[in-house]
Amino acid sequence: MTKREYNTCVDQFSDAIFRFIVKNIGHRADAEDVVQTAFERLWKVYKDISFEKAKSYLFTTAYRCMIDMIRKTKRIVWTDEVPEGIARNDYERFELSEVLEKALGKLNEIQRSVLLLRDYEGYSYKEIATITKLNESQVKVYIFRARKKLQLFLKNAHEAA
Amino acid sequence: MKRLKVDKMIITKNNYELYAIDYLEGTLDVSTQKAMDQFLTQYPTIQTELEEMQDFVLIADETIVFENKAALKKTKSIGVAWWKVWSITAGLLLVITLGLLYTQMSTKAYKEQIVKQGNGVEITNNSIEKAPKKGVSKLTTPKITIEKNRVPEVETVTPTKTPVTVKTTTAKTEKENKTFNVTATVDSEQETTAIKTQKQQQIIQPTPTEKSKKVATKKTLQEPKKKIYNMPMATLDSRMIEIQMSTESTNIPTISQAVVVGLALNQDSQNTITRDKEKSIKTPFGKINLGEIKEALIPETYIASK
Repeated sequence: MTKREYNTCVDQFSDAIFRFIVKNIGHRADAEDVVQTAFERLWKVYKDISFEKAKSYLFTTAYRCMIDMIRKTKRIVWTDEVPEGIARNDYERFELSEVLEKALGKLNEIQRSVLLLRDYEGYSYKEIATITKLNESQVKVYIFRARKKLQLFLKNAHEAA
Repeated sequence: MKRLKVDKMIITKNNYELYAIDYLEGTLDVSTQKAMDQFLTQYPTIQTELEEMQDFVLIADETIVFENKAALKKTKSIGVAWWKVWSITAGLLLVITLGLLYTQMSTKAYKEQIVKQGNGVEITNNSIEKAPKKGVSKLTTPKITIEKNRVPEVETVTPTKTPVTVKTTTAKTEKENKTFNVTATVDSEQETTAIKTQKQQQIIQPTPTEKSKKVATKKTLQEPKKKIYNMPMATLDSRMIEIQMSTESTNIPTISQAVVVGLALNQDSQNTITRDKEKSIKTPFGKINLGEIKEALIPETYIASK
């Protein structure tokens, strides 16, 4: 990869990585740090990596940085419990996207990551498996469970409203 | 050959999640699809769940963007700037180094050229001290008596690189038979020139006036080498320089003539010329303390004029 291609990576992938991290940890400043770290690591090895593999490298690096950060700070408390619904006032106050944001917070770390990689970035199950160091079957199960939780959360929210 | 019998795929509540995503996306193979359909007929609630999830896809929020892209980019200008800085620095260092080398070489060559073009002899303050020591250890006859005005004759001249002794003899009389040794330090080529110059200047008569003294001093300063080789050196006592003149001589050397020699000499009523050890004089060799002088120079022209 050339220097110019590296800069192209910044233009094309920095937003997606930042969005992916923000949606996962819900903290913009930490997400910026993760993005910066990912690109610094890419810059150190950019000559040895092709432009086609740069996106996967960036997401993998960012994902692992994020996991390390979560384990260090324990900022996020995960729960597998199915949401019982949100208050009427909440539903009225927030738009659907904000409800989804809240619903994502109810997913655990792995479920949220694989779902975002699939839906936001359109990665294949194989690619997601590579990034998260899982196998394809595990990725599919995590994604199914994530969708099921979100579906249930939104359904309860709608009924509550 | 015995074929292995493949068991018919069975989907249950414990494993249906493995096939759920592929079922929703329609990517199951035929046999698995049949097994899934059979499972869902048994559990309609799960079938309802899957149908509700059919079109459920999260859409990325495009409003979330990373704003500090410029900090991540590696601009060419920064790299080129560093490259230029290093190049210019290296270039300047190279030019300075070459300039210093050229200056040093030029100075050295210039000095060598000056030495070659000059007389080949560097005159230093130690010139007198470096004068040949032959005869100095036997400084027991410092008195020199000049009876008649006879031109001394140069008897032998041998060009060598070592200090040579030129024996000069004055005319002999009935009363006194005076000889004195004169030593000089010369190189082979310069020695020949010196002897020639001596012969040419044997007929020159010095005029013992104050003007001539100044002129002679100036000439000595401007042309130190010529003066040196025109003047044979008289060996004198290390304790006292004494040149006793004969009273019978009609042409008694005066102080002015003695000063031309380069020594601050005193002449008393007895025509005895002594040095003042406390004084110092300016010579072509620099400032010299008379107390340190062990040899004196007597001009050939002076002797010739007697």
